[in-house]
Amino acid sequence: MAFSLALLGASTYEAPVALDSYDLLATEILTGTQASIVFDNLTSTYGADYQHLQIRMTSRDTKSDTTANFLLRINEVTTNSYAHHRLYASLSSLNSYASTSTSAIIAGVTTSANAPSSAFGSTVIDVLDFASTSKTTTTRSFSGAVAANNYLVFSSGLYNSTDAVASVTILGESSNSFVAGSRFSLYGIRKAA
Amino acid sequence: MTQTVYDPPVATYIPLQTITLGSSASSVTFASIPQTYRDLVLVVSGGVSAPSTVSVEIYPNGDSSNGSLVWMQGNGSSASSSTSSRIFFVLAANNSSSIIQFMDYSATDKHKTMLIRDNNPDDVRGGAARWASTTAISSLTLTDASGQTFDAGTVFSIYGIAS
Repeated sequence: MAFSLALLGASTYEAPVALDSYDLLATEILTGTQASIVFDNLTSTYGADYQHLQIRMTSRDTKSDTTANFLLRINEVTTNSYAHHRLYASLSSLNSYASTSTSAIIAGVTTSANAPSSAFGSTVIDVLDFASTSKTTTTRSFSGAVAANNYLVFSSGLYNSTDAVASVTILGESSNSFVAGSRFSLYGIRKAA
Repeated sequence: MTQTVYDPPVATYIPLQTITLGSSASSVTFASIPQTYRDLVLVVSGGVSAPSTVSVEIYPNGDSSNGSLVWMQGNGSSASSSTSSRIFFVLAANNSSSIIQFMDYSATDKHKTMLIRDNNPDDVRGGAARWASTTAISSLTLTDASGQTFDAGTVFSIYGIAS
């Protein structure tokens, strides 16, 4: 018996949905230290056209260390409405970590003030189904900070609310700020036509 | 600080070049990479001549030094991590795939960083790397330092992402 995609429950497309299905929406490149970066008006501006959001960033912060975590909040909510899991490597040590009922998602790692000069961390964050009001919001991150302490992190995050995502805030942990040259870009992945 | 909002949005993730090997090759080079994008994505699908996995080294601008890498892998029975002064991704003898993000490759104010994901029949891997140079990346050479070759039919593609 031949299987068809329709029988498997998948949609089939005779032609690509669109040639411009991945779009640059906004970018912020810091010219000085800054505690947080906010992408706002997300659902109102992009909810009709885009299914998912992606943030790509290179960053370095002010912590007196070689690396540091950074945080992500949705809709500027600071109550314990988040959870996250991380699988991470540091040098030859492999670990996992989980936390629930937190005030932010630990979304990745960045280099810090004691890292080699010009060394920045890099992260790609996906915010899935950001405009949905029927499901809680999940994020996933792929992040690395290669300095004296090398960190590689896979993480997933939960914003335990069915509210649509109106804003995403990226901020340093423990009041650390991002330094000049750090770059934060927002992209949208279009909905099917 | 000023945030630039693009209205209308800018279509990106632009295919720049694809190399499909007609016969086996010991290395592949993307030369004269345009500097008009912020990030590059390299997608590799194919295999190598070795009996098992091979570390394919990445030489930005032909430079085999100035690299740092941390990686982790799991194969179903164990998981581990390690570091290296070489920047590499892993292909297998059977068909496998890798996706490498080159972040801020065209910038001249920071070292270049890479996020690496490898998928092959033997294990799953991730890596983060730093090339300690502020020079923009204008070429990428991919080679197996142990002397194995890429199989005919292996496909290498790069995409540009604007910011």
